[in-house]
Amino acid sequence: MTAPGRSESRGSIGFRILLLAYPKSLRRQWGPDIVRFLAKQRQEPRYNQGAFGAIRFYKDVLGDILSNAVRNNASFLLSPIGGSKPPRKRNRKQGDRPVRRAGSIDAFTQDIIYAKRVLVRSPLFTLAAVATLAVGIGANVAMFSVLDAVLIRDLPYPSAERLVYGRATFGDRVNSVVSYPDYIDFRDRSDAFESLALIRSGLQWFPITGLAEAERVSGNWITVDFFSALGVEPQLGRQFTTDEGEPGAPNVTLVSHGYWQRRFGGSTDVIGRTISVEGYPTTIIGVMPADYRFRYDTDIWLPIRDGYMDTGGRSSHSWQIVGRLRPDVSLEQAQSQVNVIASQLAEAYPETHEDKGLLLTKLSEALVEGYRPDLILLMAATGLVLLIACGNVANLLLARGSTRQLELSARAALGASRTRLIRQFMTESLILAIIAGSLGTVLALWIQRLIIVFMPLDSLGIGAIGMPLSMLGFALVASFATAIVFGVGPALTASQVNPAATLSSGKRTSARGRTTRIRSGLVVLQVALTVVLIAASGLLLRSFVQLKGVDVGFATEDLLTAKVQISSSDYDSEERTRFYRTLLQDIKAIPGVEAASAISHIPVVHPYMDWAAWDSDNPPPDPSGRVAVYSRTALPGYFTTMGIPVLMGRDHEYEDAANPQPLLVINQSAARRLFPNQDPIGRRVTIYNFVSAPEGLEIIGVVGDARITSVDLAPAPQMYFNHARSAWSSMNLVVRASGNPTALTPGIRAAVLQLDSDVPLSNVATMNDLLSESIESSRVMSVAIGLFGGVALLLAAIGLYGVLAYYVTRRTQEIGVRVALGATGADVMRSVVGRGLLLVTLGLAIGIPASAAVTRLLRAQLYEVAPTDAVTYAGVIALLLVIGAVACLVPARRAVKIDPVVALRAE
Amino acid sequence: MKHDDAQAFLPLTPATFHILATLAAGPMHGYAIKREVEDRTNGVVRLGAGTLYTGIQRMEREGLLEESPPPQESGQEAGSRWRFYEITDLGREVLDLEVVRLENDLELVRARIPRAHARETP
Repeated sequence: MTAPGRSESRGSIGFRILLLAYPKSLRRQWGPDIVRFLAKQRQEPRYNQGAFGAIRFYKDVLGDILSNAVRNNASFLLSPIGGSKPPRKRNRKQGDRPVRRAGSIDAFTQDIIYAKRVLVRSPLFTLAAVATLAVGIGANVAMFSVLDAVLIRDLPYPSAERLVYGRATFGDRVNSVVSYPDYIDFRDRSDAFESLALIRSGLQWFPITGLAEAERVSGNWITVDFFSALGVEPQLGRQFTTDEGEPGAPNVTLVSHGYWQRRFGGSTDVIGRTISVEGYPTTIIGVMPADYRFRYDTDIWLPIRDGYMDTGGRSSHSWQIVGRLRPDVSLEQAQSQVNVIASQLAEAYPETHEDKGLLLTKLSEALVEGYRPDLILLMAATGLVLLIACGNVANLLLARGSTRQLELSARAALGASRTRLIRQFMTESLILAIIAGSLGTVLALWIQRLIIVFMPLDSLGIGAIGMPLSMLGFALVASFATAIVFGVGPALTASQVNPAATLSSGKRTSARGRTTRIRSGLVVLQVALTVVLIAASGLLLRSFVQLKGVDVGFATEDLLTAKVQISSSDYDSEERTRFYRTLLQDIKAIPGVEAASAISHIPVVHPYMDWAAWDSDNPPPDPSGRVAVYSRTALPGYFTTMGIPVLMGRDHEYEDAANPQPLLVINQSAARRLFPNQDPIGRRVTIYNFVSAPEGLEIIGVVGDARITSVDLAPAPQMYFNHARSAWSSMNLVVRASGNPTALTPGIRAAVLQLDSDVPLSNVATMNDLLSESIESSRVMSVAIGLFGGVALLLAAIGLYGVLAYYVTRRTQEIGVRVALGATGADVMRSVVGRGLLLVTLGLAIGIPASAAVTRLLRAQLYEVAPTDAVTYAGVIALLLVIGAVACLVPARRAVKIDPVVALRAE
Repeated sequence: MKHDDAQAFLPLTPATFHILATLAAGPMHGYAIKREVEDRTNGVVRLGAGTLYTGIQRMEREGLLEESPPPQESGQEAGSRWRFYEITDLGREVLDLEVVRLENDLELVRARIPRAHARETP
């Protein structure tokens, strides 16, 4: 009773501050109501979960305030001068406005006019400051817009906060997919969901015939309530009905907007048309909207039906659950209900469900999990770059402030208060920041496009973000914050004038020592921040190089892959193997082909799934002793083609189909795990739930380890079935070329078409490209952070140069005296460079420990590189010292050239 | 005469329409209106405090709604004194006229475009 009250009152202080952003008339009339309103709103499920809930809350509230402000003042902003004026202005004319207020408006106008004059008078300074800030703000606005679209904004579904994503868990391990029978149990036994729907994981490819030409389209199996769970309506036609999920119902399909346009020219009479999907006549009942997209680029959706397709058993995990919670049920309540069901299932099926559960996550979070760390990292990096840019502009302002001492002293002597001077400076900063912010926002649109191209955000369906209001709001906030960060220090420093001293000497003397100290301090901080960025980019780069250099266990050069799918209804098992055998013979006859074979799953690209297996002669006492082995089905010659060594025994052969004993080839890791310190050849392996070989499969060969799940994961235990015994209809060709592998494509395509003109060849790619693609995000991140690091380094070097140049100018006389007293050029140079390197060293002293702390957060993104990698840090130190020395050179040379006679005469 | 007055308010902005439609059911305070609108529209229309209270302010001035004492059965939490609002007769009239206008528009569209029907067949 007391606890919630306390927390509400604690929260309401923040809301009371927020209240100040509302118009006065609202505050006066509804102040307490608005505070209560905000407190309640903050408690809503979409706003009270995690850091992003808070960000979303403040974003929405500020958006509401801003859009209202714009709407309420639109007539004022849009009205031409001399047109209808809002009442406020009329009041002023009538003269009932207090004099003080009028005076302050005048001072404000005066500040602006004066600031404009100052900025125009030194165009080079203005240009440098605006350009630096525009790039900094632009990058931040662009990054924010992407972050907003991906992480903060709601999914484009009604009441999206009630959507959840379900994944199977095995102990601590999260499996992104679930089994169909488990789904049925969760759906039927739980009442926490308005609907619990299912979608097949990954795209399937369906041959479509019955139209002008045969083609293969991408498709997804979904439960009939999938779209209604998401809350998406077809644009044309209708959704699936419940009956259409029942066995024996007529075949129906929904098609995508893209497919509708592409294949049917967007004609409305597509509804009711019949196409042949995998040979089954299927009626098109609806077209989905153009902007609809869920994880995959899908052309057609087919309803899941028992008996119509193989939905798989309890240990076959290939489905993703999407559910909509009932409005009165929280995620936690649903999760605990699901946990109860999971424990019931564990009792009913101890074999498979011992530690199996279902993890519910908010759909919005589950979809972006993979992008979150990268995006946050990029946002942090752009933020750092902006900070460093602010440092430079502050430095410029400080330098200029000290040259304006005379002017400021004069103003102070004429009666300007310090506050007035500070305000003058802040006005200049604000104008700079607003010009830079406007340019930056335009720039952001380009940068945004760049980010979308390079960050693989496709699966989120983010094609274009444009410039939503939130982005403009962020630009405004960023500009103001920037102005404060770079403007306050210089304003405080420069406004401390001593008119008497300055005016009597007629020179700029005061505040110089302090200015120098502050400017040096700024450079030290800039260097420290740069060190953090450079260290992070160095680590990412090293990690990427490591990934590039990984030995995947097969020869990746000159290898072409392509997918072939034959109709499973037209070819029975035996015919499938015969088809592929003939096809491979034809391909091998193509000039330039050295070897060719086929595999059900391409390494790294298709990890596929693992099965529990054990030594048939020594069954483990409990399931934990089983070995998880990834399975593949290969045609003979696969290992030779891939360059995977056959270490013991032999490869599969076509003739093995006649062998009464099913045979298996395993890799080294599997051999070590299943038969430690034994000769595996001739032994038998039992695979859990593998009905076609309950007695186990005989090992005929052991091959080298290859990385199949991912480039950065060590090879897992693997087993290879013979296609002659488990004949997949869809296979991936692997063709080793003696020269350029892509040149073989036309020949291979012709060979396929010659055998069966209805069989499409797709996904043609070289193995090298596929591997590069799989580590693409690592490359993008190291390039992006490297780029930011480079910009930061440049900015810091400019900052250092500026401070040293100033240092040399100020010490001209002192240096002149020293040269006159016999100091050599080398001595002078040493003193200037020494000063610069001292600043760099101080920056390193702060930056290195700071990076060590920060880069620890990178651990998950690094492959075989420690966050405290000594080589990287040594490189960072060397780089900064070298760049620092280069930045010192120009001022140092100028110092050396100082003529003592001229320098002393100037005094 | 009064009819003409009400006619002058049309068409209503989405916020005005939803606030009026919500208050037609009985007096409510600001946050309750927001929740009700959000629930009814499945989260499509979200009213922020600024939009809502600016709307209430304007509509109160225009005489579409007025402040009301908290209803007896409202179960107000102790210590909170929300300001409640109820729809006026003029507000009700405007709402009715808007509904008629929307219905007419809808019929017009339905009659012209066959697509809107296609979705209805099960």
